[in-house]
Amino acid sequence: MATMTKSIGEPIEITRMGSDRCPDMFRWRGRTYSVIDTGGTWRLLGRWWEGDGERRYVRVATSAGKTFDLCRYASTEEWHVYRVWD
Amino acid sequence: MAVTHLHTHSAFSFYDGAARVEALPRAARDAGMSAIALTDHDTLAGAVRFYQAALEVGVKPIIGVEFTVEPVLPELHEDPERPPHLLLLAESNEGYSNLCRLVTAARLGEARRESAFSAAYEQVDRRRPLLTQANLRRHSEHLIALTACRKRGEIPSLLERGLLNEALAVAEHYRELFGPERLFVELHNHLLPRPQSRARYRLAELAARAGLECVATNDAHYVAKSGYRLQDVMVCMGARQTVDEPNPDRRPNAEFYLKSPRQMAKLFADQPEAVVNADRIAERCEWELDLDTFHFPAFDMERLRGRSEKGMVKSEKGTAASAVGRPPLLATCHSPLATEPPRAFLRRLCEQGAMRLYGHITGHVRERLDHELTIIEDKGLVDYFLIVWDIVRFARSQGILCTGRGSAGDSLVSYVLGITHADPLANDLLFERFLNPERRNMPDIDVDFDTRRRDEVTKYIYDTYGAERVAAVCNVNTFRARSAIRELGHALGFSDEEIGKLASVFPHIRAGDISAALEKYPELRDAQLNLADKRLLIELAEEISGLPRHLSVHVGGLLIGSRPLTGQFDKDDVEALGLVKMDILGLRIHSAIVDALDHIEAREGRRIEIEALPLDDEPSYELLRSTHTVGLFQLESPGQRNLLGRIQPTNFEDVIANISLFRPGPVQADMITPYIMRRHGLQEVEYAHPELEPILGTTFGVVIYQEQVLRIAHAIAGFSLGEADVLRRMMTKDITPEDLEEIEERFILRAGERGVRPAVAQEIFTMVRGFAAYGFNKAHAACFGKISYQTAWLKVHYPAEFMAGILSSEPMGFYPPRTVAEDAKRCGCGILPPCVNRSADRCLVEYERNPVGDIRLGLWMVRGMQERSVRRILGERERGGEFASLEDFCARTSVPGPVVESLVLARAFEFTGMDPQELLWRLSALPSDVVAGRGGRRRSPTLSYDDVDDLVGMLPSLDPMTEVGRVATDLHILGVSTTRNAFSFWRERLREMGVTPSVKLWERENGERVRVAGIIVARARPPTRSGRTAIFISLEDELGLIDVAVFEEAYNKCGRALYTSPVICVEGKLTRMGALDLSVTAENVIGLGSWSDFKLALTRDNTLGSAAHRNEAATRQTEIRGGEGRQIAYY
Repeated sequence: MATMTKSIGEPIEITRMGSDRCPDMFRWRGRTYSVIDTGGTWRLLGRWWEGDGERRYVRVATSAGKTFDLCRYASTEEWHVYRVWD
Repeated sequence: MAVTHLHTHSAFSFYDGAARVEALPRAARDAGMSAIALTDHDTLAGAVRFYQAALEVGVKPIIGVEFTVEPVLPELHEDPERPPHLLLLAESNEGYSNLCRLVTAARLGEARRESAFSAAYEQVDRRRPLLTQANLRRHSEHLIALTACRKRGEIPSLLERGLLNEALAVAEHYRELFGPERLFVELHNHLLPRPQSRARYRLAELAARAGLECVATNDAHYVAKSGYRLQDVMVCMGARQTVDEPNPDRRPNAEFYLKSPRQMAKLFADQPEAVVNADRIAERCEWELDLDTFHFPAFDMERLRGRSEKGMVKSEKGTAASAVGRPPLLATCHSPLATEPPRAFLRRLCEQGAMRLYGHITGHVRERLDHELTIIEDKGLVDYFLIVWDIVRFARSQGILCTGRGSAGDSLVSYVLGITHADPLANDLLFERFLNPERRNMPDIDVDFDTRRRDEVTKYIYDTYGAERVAAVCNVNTFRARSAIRELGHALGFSDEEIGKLASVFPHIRAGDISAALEKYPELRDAQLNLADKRLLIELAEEISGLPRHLSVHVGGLLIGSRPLTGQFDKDDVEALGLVKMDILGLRIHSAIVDALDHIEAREGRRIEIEALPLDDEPSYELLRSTHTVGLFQLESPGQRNLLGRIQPTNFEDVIANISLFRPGPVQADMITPYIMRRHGLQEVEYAHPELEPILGTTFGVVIYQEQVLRIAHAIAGFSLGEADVLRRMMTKDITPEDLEEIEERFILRAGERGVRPAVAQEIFTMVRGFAAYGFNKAHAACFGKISYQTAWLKVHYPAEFMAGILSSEPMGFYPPRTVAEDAKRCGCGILPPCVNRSADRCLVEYERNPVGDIRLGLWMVRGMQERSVRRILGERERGGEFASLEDFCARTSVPGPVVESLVLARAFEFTGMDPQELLWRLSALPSDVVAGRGGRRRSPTLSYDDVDDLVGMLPSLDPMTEVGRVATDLHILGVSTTRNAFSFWRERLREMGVTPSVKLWERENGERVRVAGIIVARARPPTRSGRTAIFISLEDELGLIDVAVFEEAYNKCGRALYTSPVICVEGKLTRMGALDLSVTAENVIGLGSWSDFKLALTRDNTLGSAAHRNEAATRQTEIRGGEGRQIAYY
């Protein structure tokens, strides 16, 4: 069965950061997710000329069974849910 | 693990790489790497700098090129505008030679049109190089190939499209060409999302199937991560796009930098063999540039022997009857004898030259010649001198005026060979300053040729030495403030208008100085640039400052190699490589001088031997002292004129001093004031040691010349002249205090051995040290001074002929043609409009109305004139005689309508007796098949000349052109006024404003407050001793030039008016220093409007140009010309 993805773009709160600078635990829409595995990291450039720098992405599998692509904006250093894999 | 970066771009990958080439080895060393490669796109232009920088920091340099290649499978190649890439590294020096050959083959027309693909690609963009597979096969030895990046490498891109078998076929093709040990599959890990991040695994599988090994690289395009912004915007600039537009060449993230070995090892933790292979390849590559040997071409003696004496040396143009001076230089020369070696031939040429110049060879001359020739022979430079001699000999045989410049003038050999023209013995010049036996330095003989005929000289060199052994030196053009702002501004999406406004206000400064300039210059501070949204633009402009922008051909630099030359090197690279560069420069003043000599010959029937003029012509020095030196070589700028007034030259030595002193160094070190004070006896000259008197006597105890520094070290401390030159060079450069102390000790010690007391030696050393950095090469000043003197002589004795030459050679010098023409009028010459029946292409001199001569403007000066039209007019006049009328002219020449209109407005048809208004009416009535370029406005194909007369009969009653209109039209069409000075129309108005005309300033007292006005004709901002701003301006009013000095306070107050309004009124104090030096120190500057406003005001103001004014002007003209009409009179 094909996997469905949703683009989200909502901020999350990192409750625990891992040693590899990837979130270990985060809160999204009132629920806390615990990361059980990371599936690669990549970087993409934003509109740097408008103050947006390089974005760092990480794919994480959580104990709740959801896979997320999380993204950190260089400009604000904030983490967001970029995409959710159901 | 070291991890070597084998795929690295510098900014020589134009509009793709953003790394300074010198920064790459430094960064490699800092990151703990022992080697690094440079692999720019299709060029080796950065190779020499890279090599030197790597050696300097102790990192092993590896050289390669990422070539744009013809695809192996062209039928599968999707985008014909973006051929694949292939990276080649030189395994050895032979490999480097092959890279050079491949770069040349990829760029040169014939070689790159060998396949259908490359022929088609040339249609896309012929400037972009392409390496064909056939060329690659020819020179593929000693090279290691890497498969290049994911997007542009042919193998990875086929693989990305899922074409595994085809990718394997390409791998097999290259494997067959290079062998499995010299072909590597390149792997990248740029932290991309899937599926791109998987590419390296698929490539590794392919490598395994093809029996190849992999290598990890990072395809670095900038040194550190922070360089991504500039790199990204540079790609946009190259594509002439904005950052908002997508472009496949833009990188998706900021990972393309010089990563540390640890980062690389981590990125390829699952493919460790690829990292190991990078180091293995680095170990295999050995590249060495020979920076220690000079590579001189051999002079072809047989070629000269092959010519008969008579055929070889043509007599110089017009040398038969020389009324002035000695016999011509280089009038005779000989072929080498059958067995004569080059050394003996050079000696013989020198002796003959010396005989010719000095009449007989004294012991002193022979000693000096022997000394120089011994050094020349020891350094292996005999052939080099013969080559330069041969080129100069050729030029002279063709009547092409040429003169050597620079330190070559320090050599008696250069002088007697006819290469330079200032006598090094008479001027006390030292050979060691030119060629030092103590140093490994490249001799540098630069020769200036008549600009118009320089190409003939270049052609001779190519023909003589063979096109494959002669190459033009390239020039690396870098980003400067204006270019950086324009290109970055476009890419960042600013409007053309905004960019234009910003770029145009900057003076020509480095892009790195933009912020400082915005603070410093009032005209920028006040320009309302709206900088709030341009912070990023300025940041990036400062970052891009000095990066190479494009390559161009050096104006004069030619290389003559001992073997075929390949590669792209600029002048510094060439010197480092030990290749012999010759500057074959064009000098416009030579064209002007030749023109003047032609005019004189036409009138007097004799050719002036300009190079042999005695240097004691009093009227010429009188002209220099008067400071009315517009048109003179090197002595016409406002600052130079001011200095001439203060120095009051009376001999050639003074001319040399004048040229040498008006330089940033002497100005900053304030060498001018003591020199002038002592020269005029206002300050006593004291010498610390009697031995200094003969050395510094001519310059009144002031060290002006580099040659004097050498002489002092020689006389006081007993240094050899070679050692002394080394000392001078050390003092000129940034020197550490320790080194300086060591030199000082040595100087004092050696002086002590000669009986000079330590305190005296110390005093002399301090003096020399103070001046050494600013000293000027006297030989260069003497070479240029000779030309300056010649121009002064011509202006005094033949003003019309000389000024006609200057006007024909425009643009040149400091002043616009308008000012030169006004100056010519002040010399008593009339300015005549061009005439289709009398004018040549250049200006001529007519004597019918004026014994001094009137300058008949050349056809070239007419706005919009094209070479083809000039040829037609002159050709048809020669063939069919003078033109009878406008109609006759149009019918016979087919000159385009707009050009005929310009000719009419320039009054080139005045001989018809018709006013331009009437002529324009007739022109518009002419049949369209008669006037070329009228296709779109066809009137009546059957219209005949009779019809034209009928139409002309319908001519409305037109007022003839007014005087104001005529001046305005002249300025617009010709750039000069053939009648009145444009400013004369403003006379009344300026008088009402209380403005003092230039000539009346002499009646005012020193220190008096005055108001002057004029058009800015020259503006200079030289560096000053204090570092404060000083701007020197020449204002031209109706009657002459006014020198204005604007110092920092006034500049800060009204700098904007200075730079935005060409017509200004200056209020300030009059400064009179001596009998002939007069200037105004500005306190306030008022802009009187733009140039177009001014011209508009001219055409509108019908109260101007009254009869009273005309009468006054006529009276003044008579006063100027004087009884004989030959005297130059200034108000």
